[in-house]
Amino acid sequence: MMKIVDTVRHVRKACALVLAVGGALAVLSGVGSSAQAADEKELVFAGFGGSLQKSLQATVIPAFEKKYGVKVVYVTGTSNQILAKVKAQRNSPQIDVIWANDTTHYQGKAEKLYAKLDPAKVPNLSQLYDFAKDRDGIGIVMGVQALGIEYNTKVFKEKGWAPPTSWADLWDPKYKGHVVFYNMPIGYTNLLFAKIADMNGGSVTNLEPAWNKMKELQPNVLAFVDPPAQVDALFGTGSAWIGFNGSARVHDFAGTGAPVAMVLPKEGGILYPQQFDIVANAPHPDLAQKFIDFTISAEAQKMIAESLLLGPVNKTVKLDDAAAAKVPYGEKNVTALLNLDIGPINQNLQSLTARWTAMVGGR
Amino acid sequence: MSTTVENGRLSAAGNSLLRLNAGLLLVPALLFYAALFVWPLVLSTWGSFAPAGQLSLETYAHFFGDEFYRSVLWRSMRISAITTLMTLIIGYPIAVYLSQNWRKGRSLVVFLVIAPMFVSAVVRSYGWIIILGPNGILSSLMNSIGIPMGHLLYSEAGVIIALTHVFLPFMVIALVGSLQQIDPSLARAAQILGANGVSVFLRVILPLTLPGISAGSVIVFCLAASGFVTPALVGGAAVPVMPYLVYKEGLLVLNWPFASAVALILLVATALVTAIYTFAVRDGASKRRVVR
Repeated sequence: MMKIVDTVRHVRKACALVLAVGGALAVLSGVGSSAQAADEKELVFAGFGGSLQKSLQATVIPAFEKKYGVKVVYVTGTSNQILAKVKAQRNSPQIDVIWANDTTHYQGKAEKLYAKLDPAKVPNLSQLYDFAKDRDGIGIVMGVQALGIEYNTKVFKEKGWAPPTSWADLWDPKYKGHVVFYNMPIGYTNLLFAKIADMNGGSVTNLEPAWNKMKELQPNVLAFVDPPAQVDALFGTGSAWIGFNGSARVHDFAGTGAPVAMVLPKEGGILYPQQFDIVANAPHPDLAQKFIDFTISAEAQKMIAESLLLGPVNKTVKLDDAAAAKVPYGEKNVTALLNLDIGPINQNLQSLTARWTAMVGGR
Repeated sequence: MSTTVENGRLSAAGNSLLRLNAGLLLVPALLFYAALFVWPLVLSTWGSFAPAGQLSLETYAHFFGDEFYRSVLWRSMRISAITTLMTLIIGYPIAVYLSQNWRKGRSLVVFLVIAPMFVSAVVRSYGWIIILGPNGILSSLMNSIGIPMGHLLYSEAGVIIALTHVFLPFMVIALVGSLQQIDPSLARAAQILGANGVSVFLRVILPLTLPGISAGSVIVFCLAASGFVTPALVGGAAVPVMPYLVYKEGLLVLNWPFASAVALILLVATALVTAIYTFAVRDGASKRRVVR
């Protein structure tokens, strides 16, 4: 009997403790959120990690903070992780602006996760190339890469080979076992897959020719990879001879002394846009609009081109020759890139990825 | 009434306070596990059975109805089992060596065994990319002595080699603990009764270390089955395992119900295999005891 009384008392004490701690936490978090709502002094930005984060935090972000006297909190993730976060926080968003790639921009848009831009608060919109403005006024393209062929200059020199010229070169038997290919649903792959279909009598709505072509490519492939860093590792060790990649990635890696270079194939390099999107019901909506406006200003676009190696989308930006050599730059070059609409691929990404995973994992 | 006054000074009230404190000691751990383990598990289990808000077995039918997914589950179990066996074969001699305190160079061996745990899994796996790759040390070495071989990167064998390296310490530690508990006089007694080295090992030492083997195997098997970084980087998309599927479905295509289902299938499969194994080893040990 005594025991039961004891136990009950212990349980009651434990409950009181839990309630006290929980109450304290609730009070603390309440204080936090009311302070935030009072005035917009903080912007929560979710962006890519690694060198891209470092560059953005060294240039655009401090310039923005200084201009508006605010603080930017940087949350790191890959585009898919960021989208997953925004999706999970749908009912109580914690993030204001996100960095998306083409795929996550359209995925999030389809799920109504992003807010519209307010043209009155984003006057710099008038200076952009047409392709950089979203049709529905949701988000903007903040910079572009060109998707092209990456090759190992050291190996090519040793073997006396000329640089590749066509997407079809990836199928050349002389590269057997040394081609590196990103997996679906990496944004680069989704775009190239549509192009491969197109080059072989299919289209973005008829992908079967691309699937057949991928089966033919498999013996040539050293690895199908997910993380871009692994592509660098394979090129760096000389295991990879040829593959495809975004221009910013290749030039960034080449800048470290790695033996890689990029060519835009004769069928055309592919435009690979990167978007900034405002999260729907963001905690700091006004500052988010200002951030977008600042990002596409000529001042910020020059910084983005020089440090992030993303081609400017603002027509008025002037780059020096060294910077211009590493990014898609100038109306003629930018508009020459293939601007593919891969809507049908984005809509079927789950089933296409499942088929892809089985194809590369079933070898 | 369980309160006893053992040394005359401890009052009943003091004793009950002690018991209360002992119970309270568990509270942080219980809260921690409830919040970070039980609750997410409940959520993802629910998510996998209710992909569209209502109860359905759709995700599980999708998994078991597809030959590719079944092959991934089988591959995960196979890789984990072979890795466990490899750590046992390599780890047992090391553990025997280490359990004999007087051996020279003991701390060096301990260091070599434990060292891999000091290095992050990502760095370690990149190391394997260099060693196992087409231009790696292994291929170059074999080619230079006239045995042409391809490379083991992005192959199941490569994954097993890397996993064995990573999880060897867990097996060794479990075995050393078990070996050190054996009374040395047992081996001597067996020798005096005429047993040679082999039968001392097979009939005395080995049966007595079965608990250690069982514990080490369960730990290594579970870690290998749930390991993600090493299989993803060394095996890649060509050697898909269950955690890779979870990553792909959960983080890349955001098919959360299916990712939850894959995770749960992995959990249940691992639990089943380890339960059957533990039961078999215990059963073997107790039968042996009866015979003896």
